[in-house]
Amino acid sequence: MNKELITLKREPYIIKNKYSTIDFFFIFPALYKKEYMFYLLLLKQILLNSSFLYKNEKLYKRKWEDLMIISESLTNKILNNNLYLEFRLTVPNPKVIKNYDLERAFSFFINTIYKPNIVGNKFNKKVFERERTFLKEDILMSLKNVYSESYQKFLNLVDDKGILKDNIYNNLDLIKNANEYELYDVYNELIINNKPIIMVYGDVDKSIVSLIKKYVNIKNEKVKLNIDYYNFLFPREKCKYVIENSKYNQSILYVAYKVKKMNNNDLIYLNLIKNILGIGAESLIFKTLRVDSGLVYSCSTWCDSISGLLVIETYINNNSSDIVLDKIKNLIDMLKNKEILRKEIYRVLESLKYSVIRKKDNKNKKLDDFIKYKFKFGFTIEKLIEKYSNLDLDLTIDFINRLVLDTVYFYKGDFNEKNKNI
Amino acid sequence: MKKIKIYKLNSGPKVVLYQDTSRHCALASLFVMFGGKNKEVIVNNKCYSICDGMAHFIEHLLIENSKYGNALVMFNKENTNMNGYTSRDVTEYFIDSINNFKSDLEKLINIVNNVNFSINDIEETKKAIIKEKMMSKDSNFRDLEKIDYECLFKNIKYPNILGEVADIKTINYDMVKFCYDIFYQIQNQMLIVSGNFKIREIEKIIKDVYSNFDKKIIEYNIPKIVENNSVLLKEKCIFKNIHLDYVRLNYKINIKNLSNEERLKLDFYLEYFLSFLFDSASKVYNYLVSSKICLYDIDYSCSKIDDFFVLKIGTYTNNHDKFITIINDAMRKKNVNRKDFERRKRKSIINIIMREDSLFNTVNPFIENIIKFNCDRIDKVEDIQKQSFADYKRSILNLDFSNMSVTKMLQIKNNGDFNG
Repeated sequence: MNKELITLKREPYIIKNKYSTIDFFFIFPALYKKEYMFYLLLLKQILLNSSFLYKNEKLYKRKWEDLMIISESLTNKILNNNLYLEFRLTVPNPKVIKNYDLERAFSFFINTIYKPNIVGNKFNKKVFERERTFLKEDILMSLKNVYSESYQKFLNLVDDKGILKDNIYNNLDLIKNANEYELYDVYNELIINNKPIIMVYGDVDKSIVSLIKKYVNIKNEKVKLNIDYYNFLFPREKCKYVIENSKYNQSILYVAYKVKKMNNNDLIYLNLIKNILGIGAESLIFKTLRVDSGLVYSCSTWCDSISGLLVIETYINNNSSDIVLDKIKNLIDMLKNKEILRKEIYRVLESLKYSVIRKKDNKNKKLDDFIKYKFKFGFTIEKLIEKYSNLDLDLTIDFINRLVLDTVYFYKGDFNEKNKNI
Repeated sequence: MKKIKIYKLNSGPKVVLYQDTSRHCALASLFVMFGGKNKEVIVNNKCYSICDGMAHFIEHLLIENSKYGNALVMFNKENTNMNGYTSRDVTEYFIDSINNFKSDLEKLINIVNNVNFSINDIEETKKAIIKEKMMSKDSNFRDLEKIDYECLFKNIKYPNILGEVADIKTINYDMVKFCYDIFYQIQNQMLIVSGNFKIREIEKIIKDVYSNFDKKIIEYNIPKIVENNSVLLKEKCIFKNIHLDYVRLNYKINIKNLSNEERLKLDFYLEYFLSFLFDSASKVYNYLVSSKICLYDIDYSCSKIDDFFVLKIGTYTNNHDKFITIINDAMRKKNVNRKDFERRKRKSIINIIMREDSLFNTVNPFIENIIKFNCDRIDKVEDIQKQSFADYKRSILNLDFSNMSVTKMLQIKNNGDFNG
């Protein structure tokens, strides 16, 4: 039901602009497997810290500096069954930095992707072990703060299907069991035996395509990708309420809604409700909880499109959890009123129109929207405006009626206990 | 088209206009020279103490109780972004506007200068700030910074910007009014406007709006803080719920005898020097990693605190002594390298060129030059090209790295015992 087909081209996409940098993207699409989880983290560490030519971090990074590379990154986007590995290189525009050797930098980038630090049929053992230890410590360290600790605990409660919680924190055995041979197999599967979608974003002309083709074999063909991004969580019969004492100062309340009979067409409504509740100081959630009643210092609304989850996250005093929860429930109910809903949609639309203007001054936002559009990762700002403008109010209210309070998790800090007279 | 104009309004604020007509928005930052560092003030030969958190408190009070109501809400209704920020040195009120910039600017100046807060407003503001304090209590590095100050300085105190709960609770109307009247005098303000606007129109608005304020002039002095070159304590630690210990070396460098321009140049040179010694391509970092003394990058920074530069070099490690010895040896050897210097210069030039891609990135370093170094100029590629290796080497060799303290954030073991 959720599957879709998108068509892309192998020939590089060239997006021209006048910025002082040029960005190259190599995006490798693949089907996601659970066993990739830790190897994806390892690949990022190993590929960006050494290569076949530059065997250790010192040599690699020094070369990187000599080539005046501004940044190089590898990010993984996992959307249910789909995985995208995105390599990105940012370098100065040769029209701005005179005598800049773009080809040398690009060739370095190609070596990063295709000529890694391997010995025979495995990754360099020493480098592998160093990065494994680093990642293990980093993962354990990242759990030692109130935000990630409470978030992880919340995911474990709200996600009964294992869509969101099936992450590295719940699979620490993958770190211990990883080895340099399997990593090489995964690398071959995802990179060597795969073909990237290539994009260039910058002040370039057609000659850039010749440069890319000098290093990468590209055929003039179309690529069809089966995408299956969504795996919705459905509401449980009875809301789960959990209160847990924490060793931190602040108290965090997570209020999660799921949608009855959620389907792909509901994504726009989910996005709308998130934006009504949670954009800026004029948002309903901020106005209600902070400005009008002084119940919170900070609050936000977010949604996870993959699972269809809507979450309101608030930082509160220990004695305010019930009243904050009531106010959130009332807000959702209030949106079932047609007039209020119409007014709120108008407010969000106005705000989005300004975002379109702000985007003109922001290189990365323009870029994000282009990728979003090409891979159908979500709605661009322009698409949101178009969709919101044509929403049927009755259908929107039908969606709100299908929002079900599913999980309330209160991670209770001890600041209020220590400062009872406040 | 880009144009810069800097001037002082008669008996008014300093004004900096940076016009860039290629942009689609305009920004304004109104700075008040009142921050977390201000702990005492002398009026009529009498010294008054200012409680911790006062500058930040006033920032909240003015934004949430302006003549337009809550300023954040009011501006957001107009789709203008607004916020306030209090640092050690200043309080900043900021807007980012698209359609209504002229009226937004007028409102911004009014929010700061045309005030009418009540006792009740003060009590309400306390509640929000105590909640903010509760959130900040979980920040480990804020506490580490506090002991950095306690080790480095005898007389310069940690700028406890939020204040403690007890400080916030003692704040009353008279205290707020007293501080507001002194520090929010218009000659103690600076207005920076950037982006797409017409210079003449904006000049007129600024002049007209400021001419409406009839604030009385109060003579005041900030007590001079005399601080030795030496550090007060060699070492101090705190205990936190962390996975690995964090160790930091803090170097105190007196820059009293340097001119503003020399300070600005040294700031660049110290960045080059620390990057050469400790970035991920450095010998030191790679030795530390290969010998398993540390796993993570070395954090390094240079900040200016009054007449001192403070260099901080730290990382997560359980091998404290080796880390300290290696870092300290590297600092004291003062190794510099011509090829590396040229590499850093090129990087600085690229950074300056790249700033042009974003209005924020262009304006923020400009503001930093003005506020931090009192240099009314934007960094230019030519400034970097003029830097010479001989001058760099001489500058580094002249520095005294003997005044150093160590601060540590140590992990609490699960059984409640301390490990370290």
